[in-house]
Amino acid sequence: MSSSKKSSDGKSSEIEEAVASLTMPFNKILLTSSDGESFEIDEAVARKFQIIAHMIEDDCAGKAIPIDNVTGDILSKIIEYAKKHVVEPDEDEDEEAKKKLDSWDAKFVEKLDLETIFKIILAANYLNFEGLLGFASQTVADYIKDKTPEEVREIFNIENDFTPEEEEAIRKENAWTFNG
Amino acid sequence: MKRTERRSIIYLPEDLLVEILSRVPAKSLVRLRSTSKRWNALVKDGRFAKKHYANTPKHSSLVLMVTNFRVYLVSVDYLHGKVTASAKITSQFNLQDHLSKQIDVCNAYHSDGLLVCITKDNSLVVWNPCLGQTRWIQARNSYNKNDYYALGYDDKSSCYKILRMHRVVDDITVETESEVYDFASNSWRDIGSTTEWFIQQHRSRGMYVKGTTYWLALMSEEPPFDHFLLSFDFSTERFQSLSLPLDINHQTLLGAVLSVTKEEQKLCMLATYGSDERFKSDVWIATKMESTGAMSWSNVSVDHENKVLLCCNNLRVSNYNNILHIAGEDKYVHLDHDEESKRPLLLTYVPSLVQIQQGI
Repeated sequence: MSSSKKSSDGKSSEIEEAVASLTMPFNKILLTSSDGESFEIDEAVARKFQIIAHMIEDDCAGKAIPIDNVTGDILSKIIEYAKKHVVEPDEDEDEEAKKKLDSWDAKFVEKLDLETIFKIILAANYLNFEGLLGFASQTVADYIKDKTPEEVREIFNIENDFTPEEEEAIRKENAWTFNG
Repeated sequence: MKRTERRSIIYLPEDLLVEILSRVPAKSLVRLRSTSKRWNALVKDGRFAKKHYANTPKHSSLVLMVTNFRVYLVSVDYLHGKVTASAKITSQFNLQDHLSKQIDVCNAYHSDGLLVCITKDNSLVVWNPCLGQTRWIQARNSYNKNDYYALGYDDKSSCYKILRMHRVVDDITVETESEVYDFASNSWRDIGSTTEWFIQQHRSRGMYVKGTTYWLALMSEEPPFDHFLLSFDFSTERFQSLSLPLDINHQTLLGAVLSVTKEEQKLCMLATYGSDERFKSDVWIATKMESTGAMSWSNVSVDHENKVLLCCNNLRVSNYNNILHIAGEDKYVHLDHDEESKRPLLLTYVPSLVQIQQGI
């Protein structure tokens, strides 16, 4: 039923995904989080998670798949994002749709605190959901890019293991980054 | 993002820290080196630099200005739709020798975040201004102020190389002698000389794209000298003659600039050409190159956002200095700087964290 051909060409796998979402609307997959919450989602959405897509292709996905490393609250957020991104609009062909989706993405992440975003990064990595991993990473990158080293240490809970002399030496090397 | 009351206690493994940091702009990342020893090591790691560079938005909104022997970083703002574009100096880079003395820079060439600089006392140095790293290059012969240079990466031998073109001009001919320095052997070697073509002074700055540098050059046969696209491949160390868009053939070329497209890093050219009194401007993207040297060019309409190019006009014409042309937005930006000096040199710039391997 499901095609098990793995395409090397990115474009045609997008088409396959789109076709899959049209021809298999009624295939449901049940995901269970580590704390026992269950989510029933369309196969097309589940396929956004590469580890699940591989299980489906290798025919070892049962009706219910346990996701041991992810709690229910995080999994529900990830599924919410995946549902919106089942088919990615092409920037050149549908600028309108891309803008709308970007706007939704911005609102989605606005409501989340940093700890949740870190958990999402960990989970997206585990599930192999590249799109969300990239987006969440970019969100954190944008957040820290104007911060000082002190602020960043707070955020990442990092200890400063430089001596004051070492730190001063590095700052001198980077003098150009502190103006403008 | 919401602010959280308590500290985040999530520990991110290295590969996920890399996912985040490789998306932080170079300037911010270099400033965050002093966060911790782990972060400092990561920023200086070669594999991380590669991944980071791949994520860097390649549309040049950064320009380097070389004036009064100093190098400045200029940020160009040309948001699609805004009426005017603007450029401002945001930082100054300091080239220092091993004694931390500031060095005067006369001339510079840029490739993928690295600069080849000729200093006031006629030394040659490769410099990554982001990390401050330098590698001084021993000359075989003394450097001539009229030499041209290009820096490129040979991915077959995995090393950087410098091309030097030395011109010998007499009444009848222009001879161009070429030699290549490679970082692996730390030495120069001759690769030949030619009188068949030559590159004019104001076109001496080539455009580096993925291992090859391109120039607009002229055939030496009787006038009217024919323009063509000259390329030098750093892997094969060979020059090749490539065709220009057909529209330009036998036309007068008033102004032409080579650049790259934002997304796919394809070579493109902006040119003003024509004959008699009628001139027009066009932009072409190089789409395909045959081994015969025939290059396919595709003429593009420049009103699509993706096709914005930033071109630095280095013509030695008095009113056209300090001008950045944002083709595609049809905007010209005048760069203000306080110095009363000779014409500044402008280079489009993409920061890179790549380390210059130290030689012997």
